[in-house]
Amino acid sequence: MNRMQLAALATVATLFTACGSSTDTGPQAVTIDFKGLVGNVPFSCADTAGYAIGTGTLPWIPKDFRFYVSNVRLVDATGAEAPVTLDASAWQGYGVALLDFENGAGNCTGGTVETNKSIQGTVAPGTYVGLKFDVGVPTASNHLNVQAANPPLANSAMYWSWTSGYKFAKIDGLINRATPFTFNFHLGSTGCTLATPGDFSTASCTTLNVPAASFPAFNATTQAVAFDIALLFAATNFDTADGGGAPGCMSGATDPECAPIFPKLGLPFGTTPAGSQASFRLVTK
Amino acid sequence: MSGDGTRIARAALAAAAALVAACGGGAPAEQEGPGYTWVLPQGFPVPEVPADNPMSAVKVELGRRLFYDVRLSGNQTFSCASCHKQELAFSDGRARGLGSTGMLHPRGPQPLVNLAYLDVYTWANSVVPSLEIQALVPMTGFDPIELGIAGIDEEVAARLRADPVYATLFQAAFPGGSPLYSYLNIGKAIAAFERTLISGNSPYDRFQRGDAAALTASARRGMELFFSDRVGCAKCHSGLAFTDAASTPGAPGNPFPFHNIGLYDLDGHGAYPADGSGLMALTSRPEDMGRFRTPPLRNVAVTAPFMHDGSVATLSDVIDLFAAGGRARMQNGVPSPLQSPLIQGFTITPEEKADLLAFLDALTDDEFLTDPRFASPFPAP
Repeated sequence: MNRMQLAALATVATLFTACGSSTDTGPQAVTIDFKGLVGNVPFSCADTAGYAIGTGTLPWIPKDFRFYVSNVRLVDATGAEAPVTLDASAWQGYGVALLDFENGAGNCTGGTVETNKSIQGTVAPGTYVGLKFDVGVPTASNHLNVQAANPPLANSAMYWSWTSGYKFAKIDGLINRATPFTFNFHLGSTGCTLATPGDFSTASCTTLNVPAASFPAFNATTQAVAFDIALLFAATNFDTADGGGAPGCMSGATDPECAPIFPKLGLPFGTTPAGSQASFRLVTK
Repeated sequence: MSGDGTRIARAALAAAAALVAACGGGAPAEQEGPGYTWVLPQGFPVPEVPADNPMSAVKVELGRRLFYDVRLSGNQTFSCASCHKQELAFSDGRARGLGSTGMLHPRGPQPLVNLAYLDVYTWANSVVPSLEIQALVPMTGFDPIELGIAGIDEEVAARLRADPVYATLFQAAFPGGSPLYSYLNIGKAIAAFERTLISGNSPYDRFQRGDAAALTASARRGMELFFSDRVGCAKCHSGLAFTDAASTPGAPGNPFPFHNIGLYDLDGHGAYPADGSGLMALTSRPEDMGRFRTPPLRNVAVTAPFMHDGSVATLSDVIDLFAAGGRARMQNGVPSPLQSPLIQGFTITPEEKADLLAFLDALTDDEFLTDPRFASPFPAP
């Protein structure tokens, strides 16, 4: 049964990938659409009443929703992976793409009017049935330096300057407690050291915090990848006062607000085990 | 242990370098660097400058203007100088800094003195590699928000572009540099200005250059205590900048000038308060709990309150704390298990303490605190 479904999907995928010239052996173009969802509702900065997510009662009012994707691969029926080479654009470079679902409206101050909801690239000719990618910036590019002047890393909202790197994801909400509270979710590498002062090439981080998503059956023609923040924050209670560390979860190794969130991305946190990635899911376009 | 040995050896080397550097005499001198004329106290070496941000007079002027410009905060109420006031050696007298949106910083604003010689910046960060990148922290940080301009690059650029003075300065400072008004260029200009904040004309410096009358007898006795093995201040507060977080240009930097001085031991295992755990917040290494960078000491007398969280009010209290072998030991009777072996405590008479305070006072460089080159270029409001 599974095999039949896979075969059917593979057929669809073949039809999709065959859209170009069948005799062309050069790289084939691929577009992967993303959606920013809150449950089944598209994330929108204009929804200033907020969304009823998490385990509490106070709504999460959108302030920001951006993240980097890297190490994008398509997977063929044998399980072999083919890397997607990202096209150079205002949203792609240095092997990373910036997905951006905020448009600067409402409470999304510090945002940009422009949004980006897809990845464009090329892949070796083939027939692909699955998709894999990482969330984040590869270590080799995760340094604030000259790259920070060029897209998609020229985005000061995504600078994680105290670590001289980048936030991998920035998903912030306003919580209207007695005193309005910004619940930041900033994902990034921690446990970072620089062996030689001033020398980026000697940097290393003990905890990379790079979530990995894998979809064995993915049809780029009919499906999009949804980052569903209702799932990301499914175990978070926005009613309760911050338990310490940064406001919200900013990836600090002892920040208590990270414990319910990290496992939803398949990441361990302290003594909390990784679980499996549950925030990205496939949806019909 | 070998690490401490290396540190002490380095401290000795740096102290020796400082003595050699102090063998000159006379007034501040102009020294040629590549394309730039430094104004340096006699005997101070020409600082190292990153290859991608050469010094120029116009860049320094641009950086000074940006440093004092409230247009560099999101709500246009704060500048760098709001928390870094020249008369306080570019500290601000607060125990903890206050950002442009009212967020309290867990640590106090650092004095900005002799930054050009430092290997690491701020209280507890070993990965920020340069003053250029450091400038981005108050600009774009969220915890806490300081200047609060993350993500509004275009708006800030528009504010600056609209000012004809900036149009001239940016183009002259960054010929061919595009985009001209980027945060990276702003950081470079501010870093260039910060490198000029060099203090070396205190009574102590004048004494080193041969003016025997520059130090009182009390301050001279205090100096001997400061450098003595018994009191041991100079084991960490060493060299040209009175910190092991600095190095002589050309010499390899000290990668680890972070020490736990036993300020806190909340749990018997060396815990510091959660919002002030020191280098551990960055490295996640338990042994880095409570480790903070050795603060440079020039002009220290005008930078109260002391320590990263401003929890020590006076220099007299600071000496008491070190004499007791740490505040944790003072309060709990036993030292923190995490404190540096260099913090052993010492006995000091009231007269000696007065002498040591007189010496610390003699590190105040009034010229630096009032030098018009470092003052705001904007008319007083």
